[in-house]
Amino acid sequence: MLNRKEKYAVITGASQGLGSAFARELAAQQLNLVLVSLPQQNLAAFAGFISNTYQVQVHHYETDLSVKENVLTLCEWINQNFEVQVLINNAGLGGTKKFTEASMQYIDTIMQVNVVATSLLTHQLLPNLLQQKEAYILNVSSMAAFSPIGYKTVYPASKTFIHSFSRGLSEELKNTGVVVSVVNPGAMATNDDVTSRIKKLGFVGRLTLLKPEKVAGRCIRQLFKKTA
Amino acid sequence: MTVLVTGISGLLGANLVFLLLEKGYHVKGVARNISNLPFEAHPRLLLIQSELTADLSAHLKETDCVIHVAALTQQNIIRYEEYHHVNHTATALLAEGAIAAGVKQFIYVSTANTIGYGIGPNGPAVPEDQPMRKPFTCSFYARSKAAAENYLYNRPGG
Repeated sequence: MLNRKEKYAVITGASQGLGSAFARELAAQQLNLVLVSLPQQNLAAFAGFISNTYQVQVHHYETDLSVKENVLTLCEWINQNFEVQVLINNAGLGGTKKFTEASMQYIDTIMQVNVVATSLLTHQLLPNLLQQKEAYILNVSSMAAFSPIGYKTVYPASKTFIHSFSRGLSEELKNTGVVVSVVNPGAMATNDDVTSRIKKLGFVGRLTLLKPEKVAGRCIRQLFKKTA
Repeated sequence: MTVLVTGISGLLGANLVFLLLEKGYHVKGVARNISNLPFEAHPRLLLIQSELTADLSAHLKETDCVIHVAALTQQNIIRYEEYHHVNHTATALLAEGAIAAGVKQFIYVSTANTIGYGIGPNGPAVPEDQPMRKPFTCSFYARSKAAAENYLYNRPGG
């Protein structure tokens, strides 16, 4: 099935929320896609749906990015089969817990996905991106990157990492064909867990909610303008 | 023969389940909440509690036919996106899941709103190639159902 190399956009966390909105946005611009998500998120059906709706090639890959070996296997598969023109490091997770009550696994998973997977995917796919005439990396940070938050602790810190990492890499790659951008969106109702947490917010909190489709559209426009 | 039915908490879906069981089919019924349904335990009935957009691939395996009844049918929601999500996107995802799982037949319950007035001079049978008419062209519900029809017709093999 993968007998010729074509230009692709890789999106992690693509099955729902902002990631699926990125998928639609890029497919609408006739980019072929590699969608990555956790298993059991209906990714195969979503890939078929996007492919038929926008008439682009869509491949999908289900894996847990909190395991480092999985990230490396994914990168190897991508590098063997695709020329990557766009990489969107969108997969991420967070939560609200007293630090003393948080399990080790909770802390580790947030850091593995938000920090380690983002860095390693970028590192492993960068040679591929550098081979293209022009290529784009978009990292999804958060408004939380700008402020430490008690009871969230690890999540905002991980997003500050993504922000700093992206700005640094952007500087390092400024004379190459690879544009690095970072977005710091506010709260969005992206999946069932987040939505149920948001429902507990007050009226004012809900007023600030953003729509994933709008955020994705704006991100992609700014990214391709190379201004953000 | 096993039939998976969505929207079994509604009037059409529930009666479909009764009829299919009566005719001897194995039935998998999908609903968002299975705690308050009108069915008694039946050896050929499996109830599945799931969102429509969730991964149903495990249940679609070893299923011969899908009858997709579930829909957002009220007319009074002011955002088209909500109709689009349930009536178009979820339908497309279910169809893709069914095809991937090897389901042989997918029956989509649409609405007569997409083919004129749904009633002709000689009774209820109207040509199905009629275009949508007012006021249905202004109905988010009817438009989202038509969008799903288009998706299913136009996808390869549709």
